Amino acid sequence: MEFEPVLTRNLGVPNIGDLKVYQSRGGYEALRQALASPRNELKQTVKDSGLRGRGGAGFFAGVKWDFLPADHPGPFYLVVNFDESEPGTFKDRYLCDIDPHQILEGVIVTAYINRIDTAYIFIRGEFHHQAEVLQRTIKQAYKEGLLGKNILSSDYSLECVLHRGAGAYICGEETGMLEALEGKRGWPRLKPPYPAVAGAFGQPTVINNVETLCCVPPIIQRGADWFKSMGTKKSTGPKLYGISGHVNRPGVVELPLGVPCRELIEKHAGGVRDSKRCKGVIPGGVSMGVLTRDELDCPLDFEGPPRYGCMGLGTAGVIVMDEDTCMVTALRNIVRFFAHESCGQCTGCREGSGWMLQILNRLLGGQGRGRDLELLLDLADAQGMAPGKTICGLSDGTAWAARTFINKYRSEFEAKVSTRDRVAV
Amino acid sequence: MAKKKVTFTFNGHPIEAEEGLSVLQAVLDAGYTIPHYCYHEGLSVAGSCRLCAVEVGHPDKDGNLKMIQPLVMSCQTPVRQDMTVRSDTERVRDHQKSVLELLLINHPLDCPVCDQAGECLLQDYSFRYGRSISRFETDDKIKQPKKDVGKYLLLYSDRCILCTRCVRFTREVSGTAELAVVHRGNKSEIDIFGGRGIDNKLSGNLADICPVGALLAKPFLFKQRVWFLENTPSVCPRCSRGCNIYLCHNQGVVWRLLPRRNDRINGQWICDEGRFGSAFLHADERLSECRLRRERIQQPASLAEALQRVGEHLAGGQPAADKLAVVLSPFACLEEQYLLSRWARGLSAQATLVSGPVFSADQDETFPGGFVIAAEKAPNRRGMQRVLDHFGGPRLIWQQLEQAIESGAAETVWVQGGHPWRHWCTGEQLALFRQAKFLIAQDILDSELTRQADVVFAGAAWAEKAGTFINDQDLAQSYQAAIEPAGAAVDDTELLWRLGQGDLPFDRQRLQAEIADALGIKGSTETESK
Ligand SMILES: Cc1cc2nc3c(=O)[nH]c(=O)nc-3n(C[C@H](O)[C@H](O)[C@H](O)COP(=O)(O)O)c2cc1C
Ligand code: SF4
Ligand code: SF4
Ligand code: SF4
Ligand code: FES
Repeated sequence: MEFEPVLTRNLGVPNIGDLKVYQSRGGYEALRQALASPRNELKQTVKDSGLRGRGGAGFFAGVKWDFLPADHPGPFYLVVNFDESEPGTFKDRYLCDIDPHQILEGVIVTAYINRIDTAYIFIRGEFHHQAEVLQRTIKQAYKEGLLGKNILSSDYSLECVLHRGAGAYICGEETGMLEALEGKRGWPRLKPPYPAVAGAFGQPTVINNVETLCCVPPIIQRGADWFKSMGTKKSTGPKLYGISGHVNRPGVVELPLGVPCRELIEKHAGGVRDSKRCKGVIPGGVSMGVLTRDELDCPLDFEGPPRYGCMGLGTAGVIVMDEDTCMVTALRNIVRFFAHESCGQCTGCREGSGWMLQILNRLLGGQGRGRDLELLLDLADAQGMAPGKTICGLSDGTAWAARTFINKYRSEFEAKVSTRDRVAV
Repeated sequence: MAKKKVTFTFNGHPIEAEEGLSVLQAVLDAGYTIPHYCYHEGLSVAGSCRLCAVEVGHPDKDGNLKMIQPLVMSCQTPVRQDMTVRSDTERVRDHQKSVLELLLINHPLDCPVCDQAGECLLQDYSFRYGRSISRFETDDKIKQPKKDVGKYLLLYSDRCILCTRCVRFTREVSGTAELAVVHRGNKSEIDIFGGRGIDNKLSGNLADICPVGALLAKPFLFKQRVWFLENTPSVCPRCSRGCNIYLCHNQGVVWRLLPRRNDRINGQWICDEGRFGSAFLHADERLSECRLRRERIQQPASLAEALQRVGEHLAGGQPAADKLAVVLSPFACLEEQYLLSRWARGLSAQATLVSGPVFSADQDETFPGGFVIAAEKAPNRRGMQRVLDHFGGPRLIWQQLEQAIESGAAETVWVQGGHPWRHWCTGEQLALFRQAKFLIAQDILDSELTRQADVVFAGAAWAEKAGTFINDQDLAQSYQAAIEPAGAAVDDTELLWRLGQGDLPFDRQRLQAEIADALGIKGSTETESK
């Protein structure tokens, strides 16, 4: 069956940023439909659809919404994660570029379902153009009664605020984002309490990624079964894959979840450029780890990459590296990013990533020492939220990248240990 | 209302604790320990140093213990009934080693010149929980400068382990928020905003809560190695709050004051005025011997001579004693105030008791963290009042003394001092005392007042004697002497005892019992120190 685009359905439609044009293409019909339906039915539909978060962790959206305390007097907040700063990831920006009203409709429908009083769209500081576009979009929506008091003459009211970040990867971590939104330093919070219980300004808060929210209106309109007809059993629906690196046609493509990595590269990105061989692929933003060229059968859904030693699908920002790529350099660049972006709270992440960077730099300079690889792996083990060693998942990224690169390309790393120091195995 | 108690085990030891308390606090309260940096009982939980990790488990439905896979931070994890907590596993030990190793990679290890050495949690924990070697084989330590961050504080950024206790203190306790973390990752540093230094009345506590030698108190800098210091519990005399303190001394010199925890009074803090206000103890102007005026000139005298002179002067009996006025000091302890009054009234029921001057701010100063600096800048105004009330009879307040001297009602005046500053008498008051026929000064600092006295008793400052203060909450607090009195000065309570009791041997216990009985004091508060 030919895949019919969902999130990119309006791609290339002239002036789609114009409300009238968006409406002429069926825009805000889902909102009308939602406003006329009971909230729990809508939520059940989203739950049934199996929609999982597109921000990186793949948590079930409907389940997360259920964590909001039912007996709380409010106000409730929705914070939209548009911080998109993970290297290799550019899908949310693309969504805003090709169809900004789609994002807003997702926000309003989700807000309605969760009795949200105010939605904050937290947009990455560097996205100047997108911020302007969204601001215009929001203004239009207010003018046409899609935001503000009594939306489309219903008894539902919603305020929407665009908040621009100040340029830090860590503000994409949901609680770092809440701190930044509150005007504080973007330091991830200790959990519990979770944002659903005490989030923005201490109030119950839903946090979702832009792409996640864009999936909600189509689900409302076309039903859970339709959504589940795409993708795999546990990874349902369409997904935007951002492909970059050494391919002939880098860009964003929409496909059902579960496309094998090889197919994505060969069929949808024109293959590796200059007829070179592929050496490795980062499946979903640099924090997820790396797949070798022997692992390209890996389906790009939420279950696939973990089977190949990666942390997960992440953002599905796929980076392809050809045979000429130095994997030590690649890892160094990744670790440099994480060391630079570490917020500095946790000892393991703050000091560990900096130390790893020093070691990788000396490996690259040909000054590697005998124990350096063990030390790197040890330092990777000293951080990460999953083993409980740090507050947030940023350092899981450092750890997974280091672990998979070193283990999967060990000989390349060993070759960088200075010959004087190389240990016989 | 008492909170529910739960029982859990820590490394196999059963511990009972209030529900909701953190595992770390419960373990510490029970007398065990888990290494920790960012946690401080007086501050909010940061959970960022990651040193306090433990493994925890709970019984499942069938009562079988199920351990949770990730490490959890004990500072952040509330105790639960039947919880199992372990810090003695290999995983926890490895984790502690790695956190300590990571904290040391950018640390200068300049312990030989670091004031904190000896009471440094980085030293202590590295020794107890760390690796014996560092694998950080490079010279590229991040170097950060020493910064002058306020009137009393230096920040050796190099040594900082970024526990953020100091940042939280300025936000939560002093409410002044002068400190912040700037930059990110391993370039993060503690700093002040726009060069504006730490400016709050509780700043000295920052040097205490800093677990390493990063924030240090300037007045103590390079003064003493802490292991030479002996810490004697005492009570701060600088306001009527009566914060509990330690006097840290060596070879007869008090080098610094530290807070001593008392949750009814000062919690874990003291103010800068108290902490850094003890220089008078060792001032050049300290009176180190008694003096007598002989032919208009003051000359050194022994205590016996001075006492004899007072006795001779009042030997005239009733008429002279009727015109005796004694000025009690709010800086004197209860025992001194009581003995002086009892002596005067023993000579004559008409002797006047005068309450000495109390300098007072408009109101108490309460900080966001609950700490209070009292308006009254003296430790024992309440004690003085209690003594005056007890003895009854002719009493005056300080401002009325003038009239009494001018009218000739007060001819012989005994002035009790002990104030921590020299010139506590104004020019007008001094002129007034000049009119008194016979002036006796009991004080600790040489001043215009003592110079015009006929008899000068060199007293001991509070750190040099035992005593009792009654604070602004009516709590009676006794304290001990930490160091010897300056020169030939003597403990004022003993001095006044000799004045009144002649040769009867000094018996402090009996005296305190008598005062407690007379004034209705229900025993001195047992201060809750930790
Ligand atoms: C270091 C770090 C950075 C993150 N950055 C982003 C981001 O830029 N955008 C995003 O949507 N989620 C990001 N996340 C994930 C969010 O914390 C959160 O899981 C997500 O926004 C939830 O939305 P979803 O359930 O719709 O995916 C980040 C997580 C971590 C640990
Ligand atoms: S893991 Fe790193 S980025 Fe996350 S809170 Fe800790 S120090 Fe900050
Ligand atoms: S802070 Fe502690 S470890 Fe650091 S130099 Fe001082 S005493 Fe040594
Ligand atoms: S200066 Fe001291 S208290 Fe402040 S963060 Fe550094 S180590 Fe902690
Ligand atoms: S004391 Fe618990 S994390 Fe620092």
